[in-house]
Amino acid sequence: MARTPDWLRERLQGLDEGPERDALVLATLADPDPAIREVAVAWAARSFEPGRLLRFVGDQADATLRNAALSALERQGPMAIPAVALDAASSEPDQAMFACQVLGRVGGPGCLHPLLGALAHPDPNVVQAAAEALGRVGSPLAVPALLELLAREPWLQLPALDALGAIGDPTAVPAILDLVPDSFVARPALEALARIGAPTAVLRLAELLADQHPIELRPAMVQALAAALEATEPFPHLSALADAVAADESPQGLLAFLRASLVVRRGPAPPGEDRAEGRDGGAVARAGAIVAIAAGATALLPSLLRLASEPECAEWLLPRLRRAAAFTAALEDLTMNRDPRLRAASIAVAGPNGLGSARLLAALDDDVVEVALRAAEELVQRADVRVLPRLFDWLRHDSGPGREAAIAGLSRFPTAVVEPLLRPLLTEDGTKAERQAALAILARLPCAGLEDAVYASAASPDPEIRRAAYGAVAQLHGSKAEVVLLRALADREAALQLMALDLLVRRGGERLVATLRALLSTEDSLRYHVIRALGRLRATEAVRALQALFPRAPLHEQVEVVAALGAIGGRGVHDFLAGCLSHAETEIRRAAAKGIASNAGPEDADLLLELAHDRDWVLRGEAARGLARIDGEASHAALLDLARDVEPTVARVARAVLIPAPVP
Amino acid sequence: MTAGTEADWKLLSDLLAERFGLSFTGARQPILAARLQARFEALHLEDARAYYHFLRFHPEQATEYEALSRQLTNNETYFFREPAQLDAIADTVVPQLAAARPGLPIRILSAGCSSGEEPYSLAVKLTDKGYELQGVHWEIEGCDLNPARLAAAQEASYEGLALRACNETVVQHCFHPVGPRHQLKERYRKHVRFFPANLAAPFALAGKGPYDVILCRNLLIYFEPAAFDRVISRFAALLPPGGFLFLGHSESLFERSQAFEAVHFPGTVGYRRVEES
Repeated sequence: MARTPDWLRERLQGLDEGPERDALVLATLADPDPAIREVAVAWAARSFEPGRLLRFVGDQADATLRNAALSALERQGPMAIPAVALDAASSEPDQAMFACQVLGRVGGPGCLHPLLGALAHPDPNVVQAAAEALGRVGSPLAVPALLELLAREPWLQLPALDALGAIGDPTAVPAILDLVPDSFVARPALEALARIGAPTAVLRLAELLADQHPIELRPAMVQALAAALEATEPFPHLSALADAVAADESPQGLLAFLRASLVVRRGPAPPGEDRAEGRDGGAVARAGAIVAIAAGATALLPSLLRLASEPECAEWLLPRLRRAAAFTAALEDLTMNRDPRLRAASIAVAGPNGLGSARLLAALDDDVVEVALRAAEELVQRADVRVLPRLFDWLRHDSGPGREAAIAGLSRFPTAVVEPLLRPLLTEDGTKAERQAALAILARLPCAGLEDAVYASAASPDPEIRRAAYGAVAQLHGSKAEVVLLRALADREAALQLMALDLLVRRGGERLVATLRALLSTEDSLRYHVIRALGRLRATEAVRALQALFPRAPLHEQVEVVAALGAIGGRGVHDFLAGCLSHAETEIRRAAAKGIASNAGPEDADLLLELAHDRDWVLRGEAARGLARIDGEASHAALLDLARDVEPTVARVARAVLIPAPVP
Repeated sequence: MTAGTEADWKLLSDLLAERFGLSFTGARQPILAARLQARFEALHLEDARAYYHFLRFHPEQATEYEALSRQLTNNETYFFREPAQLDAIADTVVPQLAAARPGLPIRILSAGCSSGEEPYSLAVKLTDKGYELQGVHWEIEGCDLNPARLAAAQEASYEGLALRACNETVVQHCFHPVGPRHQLKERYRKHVRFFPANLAAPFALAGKGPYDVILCRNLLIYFEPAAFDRVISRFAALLPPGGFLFLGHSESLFERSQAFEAVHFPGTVGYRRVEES
């Protein structure tokens, strides 16, 4: 058979731990095929002790073997740290450098001190590797030592800046600012400041930007300033920057630069385009907008409003523009601009006090629907009842965004205002579409006076009306609503049965679990969903009924019964789940293991330690999840072992327990 | 809505790789999650493990696999996409093959043909070359996993986006306007047939072929490496020596198959089936 990754995987899985398996791993660890090598690396991490792998790292003759050993050490995770830490202190530069790289990739607090020690290595390559690794580890405890590197050679300043940016500790900001603008590493320093995003950098960066320091640094400076501003709410008034923007209208000036940045460039950057200026999904535009707002640059308001019309920008940009008092005076004129994007966005930005109601009412008649919708939205925000006729008109006669806006808008008025409008739509005089729209409003805004009409709609022969009515019924209080939804579990349409079940589960209710438990005795397609619903409700009262159903249920329901019992948890289900671990069907074993892991306590330690050695990777992964809930040496040792599992998914679960991600 | 642990998603993507040969691991997992959102909602399931269980055991699993195939392979395409390859086939490959085997029809397969834009584009090129008048006969078969797309291919009725690379003259030349849509003229449809096929399935294309030319463009990028290799081996078995395989621009057989050699055409590359050594 040809040597393929699958072939190797099957051979290795078929061999017991021992010399034959080790020999096969060793023989394939430097295989020319990277896919075969990848399998061998996974098994080397599993089978070889760190010391043995470190000997391959020292192999100067075979770079492939060395790289494979480095990957295997990385996959071993925390288990490899003590041995690798010793190598990081080696006087042999290559050995120490590779050790630092492995420590950085493994991460976690255990790597910190060996790496800090390596910063004092006489070989600058080792120092560079240690600095890079400290950035990956992400501990603020490394900041003082990294700041010392800023006074050394540029090739050590670079990794130090990168690491400080990755760590994101604001105490590093003053020292980094000292490197801007007149140093070899000014741009990397600005990039680090952009990653840190500390308010303490705002004034100095604004000053530097206003001083028109080297134009090449502008993109990085704007990014750094924007990041710092985003951490500073509300934005401080940057008068020097505002003056600098207003003063220079030349093509090379700051105003032109910011205006050019306020465009979302989509798609890949064309060849030769500077990445900082390029197509980055809106990051450049966002930075430019933040700086323009902080500078109060009214000349840029049209560009900002056009940017706010972009779907991906509206969410973050509109609230910031609404808070920018400097723009308020300029908005009124823009609501009558020829460009409909400017008209719509200026209404959205003006906010509660920005525009007179007369202007908004006039905008309801705008030819462009988006402008009218914006005006209606603003009038709804102000609870101005003069918008009601228009909303009601859209509700009855529009089938697109107008109706959606009407449903959303009318739902926000008091019931006393809305009820009389909806009542005629729910009679025989209302069209089907009007009735559906009225019920959609009642699914958001329950009106006591229309309850009878809602219940009548729930009995409609038309399934689409019933669908809309069930949503409205779910909002009503009292036992009648619950009874109607329980009856809907027997709706003629299977899709509506499921909808009713979802609504009942979300609503809760005294009779719900008892009813669902009773439904377990019916043999129809709904039972599958009822089993799942009982799991979602964590219905302890249903445990015995579910266990009783298990032996007579078809396989697809059996799996769901085990999953539901796992979700319910408690000692009442533990023995049942433990029994399922020896079931013939793999997925039932997996569902049972998931349930045990989710509820694991100290008494489950032996069972989980056994699962940690199961041949099925899913069970080993569940063992890792369960052991994470149990303190003690045995579970820690098992997790260290699972962190070098041949299945990366399992290894990652164990590693996440052993090395929590650094707090950003 | 599309929730699930890493293990849940791995189980699901492994199942899809086994069933369809499609790879959704790593960076592609969010793509899978986005495409499955509608299926989760339709079935009232809330996470990847529940959906995995549904596909494994539910009595309606067959129906769901069909709906899933529509969801996963809903790749929109258009007429005259990557025209250099179509020109290479029409201008060079077909005349060469016809000269080498006079009287025999040239058989072409468009694998992963979606709603028919690719095989019909080639049919337009070959028809307009007037090969039939010169005694050169040809036939094209298109296959796809997605039954809805194949039904659309049979209809041969298209909207604006499918014609984005056609100017007004080409549209008038090839299509009849039918309301807002465009119906491909019968003369371009008569040599094109369609059949359903899951290229990743063990007996995909069994009983089909041999073919002289296979196009399989922008499909194999979604395949996991083992499935990619299996499909290429299948194509190699369906092509006699001298037959041609055309892949998408971002797909390559470089160091992946001994059965083909690269052949350069103006603006593109094809792969010629070589003699077995």
